[in-house]
Amino acid sequence: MGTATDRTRTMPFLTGLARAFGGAIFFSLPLLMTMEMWWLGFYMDRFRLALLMLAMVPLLIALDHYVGFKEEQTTWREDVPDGMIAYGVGIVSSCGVLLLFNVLNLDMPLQEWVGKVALQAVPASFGAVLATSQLGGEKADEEQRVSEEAPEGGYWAELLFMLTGAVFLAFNVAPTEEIALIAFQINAWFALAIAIVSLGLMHAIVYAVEFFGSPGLPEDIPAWSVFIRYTVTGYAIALFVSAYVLWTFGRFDGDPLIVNTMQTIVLGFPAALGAAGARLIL
Amino acid sequence: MARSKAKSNASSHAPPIEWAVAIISTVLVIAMLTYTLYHGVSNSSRPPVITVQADSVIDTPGGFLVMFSAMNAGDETAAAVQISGELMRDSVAVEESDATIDYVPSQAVRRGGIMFSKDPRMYRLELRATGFSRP
Repeated sequence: MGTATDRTRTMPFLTGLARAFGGAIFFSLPLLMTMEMWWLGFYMDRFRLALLMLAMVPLLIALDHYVGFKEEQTTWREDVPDGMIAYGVGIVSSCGVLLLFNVLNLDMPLQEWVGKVALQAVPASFGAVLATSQLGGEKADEEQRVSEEAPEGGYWAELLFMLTGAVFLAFNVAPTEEIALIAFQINAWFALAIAIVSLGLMHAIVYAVEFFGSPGLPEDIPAWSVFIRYTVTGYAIALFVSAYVLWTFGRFDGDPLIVNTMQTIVLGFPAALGAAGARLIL
Repeated sequence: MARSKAKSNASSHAPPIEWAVAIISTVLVIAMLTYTLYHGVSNSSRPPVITVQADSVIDTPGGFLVMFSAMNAGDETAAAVQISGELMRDSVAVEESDATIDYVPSQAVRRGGIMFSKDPRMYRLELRATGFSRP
């Protein structure tokens, strides 16, 4: 392998890496500056944290398969190392910013460092993967759009994007006390209304409104089929993600099932919008 | 899939630096995961055990400030930790004061200050945690 070819391959990689760092910090900064996230980092259950870290690996690799942070995807693709690099970028950038804010310092035990960084690495590594799609040039965007609309990846890729969007938005809202507070303030009728509004907005965002990047309604497929296969499925994903994130953060502990359900529906609102929004953006 | 074809020989095209970064990242992820799991397994979930010690006494216009550190030797995080300080003379409390710390994580040290109107150096200072909540 000659030095000249090495350089032509290394430069785009470094550019992609720099972009990944930019995306990681851009996407995770609101959470890096949220104190509940720092606290969760040291007091949340270690097994749930480990499960979250483990679940991130296949999710990042799958996400990288459809998005990725490299410009020349044809010659540069390798999902597994790329997914791991995105995770690594998320970890390193979170650690750097937390050090900058003195949220991490040498007085603290290792377990506090690991917990805080591991938790923040979740949104940050999403940002690293999405960096190309969000911050990348016009060219990369168009290439991706074409490949995403290819029939092969289609439905599962859409579900994956919805899952990612739901996790990202749920993560941004779930650490705060307000989810529990709202759940206490509402009754079953409010919860039902929130669920209906969530479903309606999801459907409206993706299909009724002709935003840029909207897949649009295929002519030969009936509307109810699309509603069931995309909107309702997407909402189910959003609710599942909400429940998972709340459980991971220990928000379900000690509360009766009805309160847990209320919280899930409340968090399901932003998660549903995240799911619908991700389909437009990605 | 159109992408998979290009992917089959991607590994041979990847520059060494990419492999280096990928391996470092993987090691980082596995190390953090292993440590977290190890910590979860070895954790015997002892409740917070908080000891408080005075670090220094500073004269301030508002009184005497005692800087202290609270150490949690337990396995669980203590929240809203109340620290009480008493100035003792012959087992009689001459003055009492208190402070609250938001969180003292397991194995961590958190610092704070507690104010007295009398000079703590003239008395025996007793510092202790009087209570906390679970986060």
